[in-house]
Amino acid sequence: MKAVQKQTAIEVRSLRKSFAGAQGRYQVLDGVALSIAAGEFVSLLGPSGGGKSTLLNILAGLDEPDAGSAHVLGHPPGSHAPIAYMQQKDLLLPWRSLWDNILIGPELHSRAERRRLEASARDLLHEFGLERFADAWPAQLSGGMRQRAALLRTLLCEQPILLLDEPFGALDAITRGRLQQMLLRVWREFGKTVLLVTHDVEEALLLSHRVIVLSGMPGHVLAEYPVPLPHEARAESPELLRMRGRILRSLEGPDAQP
Amino acid sequence: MRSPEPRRSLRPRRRQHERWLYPLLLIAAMLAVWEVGVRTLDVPHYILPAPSAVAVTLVEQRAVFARHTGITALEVVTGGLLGVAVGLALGLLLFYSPALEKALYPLLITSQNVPVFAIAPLLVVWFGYGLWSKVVMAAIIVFFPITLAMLGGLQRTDPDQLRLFRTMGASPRQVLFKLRLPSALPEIFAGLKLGAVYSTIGAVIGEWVGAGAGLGYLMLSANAQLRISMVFGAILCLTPIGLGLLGFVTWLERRLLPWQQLSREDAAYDASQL
Repeated sequence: MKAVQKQTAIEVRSLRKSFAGAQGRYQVLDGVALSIAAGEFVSLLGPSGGGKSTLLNILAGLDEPDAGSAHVLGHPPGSHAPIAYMQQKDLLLPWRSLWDNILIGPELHSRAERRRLEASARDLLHEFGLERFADAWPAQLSGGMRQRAALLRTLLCEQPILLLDEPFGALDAITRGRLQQMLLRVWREFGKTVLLVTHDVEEALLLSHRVIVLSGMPGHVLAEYPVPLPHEARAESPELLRMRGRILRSLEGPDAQP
Repeated sequence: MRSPEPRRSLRPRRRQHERWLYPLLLIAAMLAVWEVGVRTLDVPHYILPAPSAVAVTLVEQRAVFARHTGITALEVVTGGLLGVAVGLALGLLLFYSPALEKALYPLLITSQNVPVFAIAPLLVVWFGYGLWSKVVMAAIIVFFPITLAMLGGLQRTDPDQLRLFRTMGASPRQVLFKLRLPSALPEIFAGLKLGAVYSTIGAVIGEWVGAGAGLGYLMLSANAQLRISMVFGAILCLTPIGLGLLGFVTWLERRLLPWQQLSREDAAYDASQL
């Protein structure tokens, strides 16, 4: 895991962002700074409304920061940034079959690009256990299948950096576990950089190299926890349980600490 | 594990015959009451002819009915197509030009409060007694619901899907053709169904105000001569035009939007499928 500390994939410095609300402007991000190396798997934990999604939106080029800087592989965010963004909703297009849904990314690029990726799309479909459903409409799929399709679509955008905003938040525990394993496999196989937003401490500890905890409003980085264990050794590790306790306490804030 | 068989399960076939059987039975019963009522009460034919008399007129005068039906059908279809074309184009234009929308929208709403009968004589003056005054009349009634459907459909694109397309680097053209228009289609079809019905109304109103042919003209002249069975015959000939158009739009919707036909049961592939 130390071998990947070569190139910086995501660099964020003193990022500030506020939105207009009912009682004037409220600060969502207040001086957020973080750095993610290429190939790293980082989770972002924090209370809801803590600006985690706003941070992803800024990295995806969907929102402009008020101050500070964000860089993705050395470039400012924008429509051609090398990121693929997956949100909690699967956002499958109901008028496209599963097959046409997962290939939308390359298709928007060019017809040749779509043809080029069809072979790997077929392999991934098989790997994700969806090959029998290639012709099905999204409305015919279960929530877990739809989320798998959304993950496939994200992968087939062939971007080196994946921004995942609570991608498994709406799923039941078993489905969620399977999808987490699929994500882990894909991350290993393709060497992606992953920034995962989640509110689930277990999920963060099971999957990532590093857990970054954001404070509530206004959001800033409270603490960072490297997870020193290999993925295989994580389930039911006492070390992880201790970390879980520490992270939960830091999430509850300084007032809650003894 | 079940296999999904997506294309086959689109339309539930069962109870298909019941959809037709009960309305047909009701119509038959109503016709029977009508026939018996007219005969026993001895109602004069110039007030209310018996269904059998209408049927006889339909058969005897079939050449006349066929000619006028053809003319009205041509007006309805041409006017409907023109209205749809104008409505879709205007909806698209209003969507892309908020300034135009602000300027034109109140005007459009106001114009819809002018009874179409009021402008029909003007159309005859401008477009003559022939086909075109009716075509324009039908188009004027049809374009409005289509415009609203198009505009509303384009405006209601899921903002999250728009953001997804933005992060995937989609061009404005791709956003229109691969996202906005497809997601507007259900609404556009709802507008088209209204248009199919309105078009017939428009053409007949046009014919009432000034025409030398068509089912509306036939109705008025037969009415003036107290040939009421002829009036009923014309009404009967008018029905399949509107219904046919509505049927065509519905068929087209099924063809183009098969995912819309999925029933809730089809959608419920539960988590055990995983």
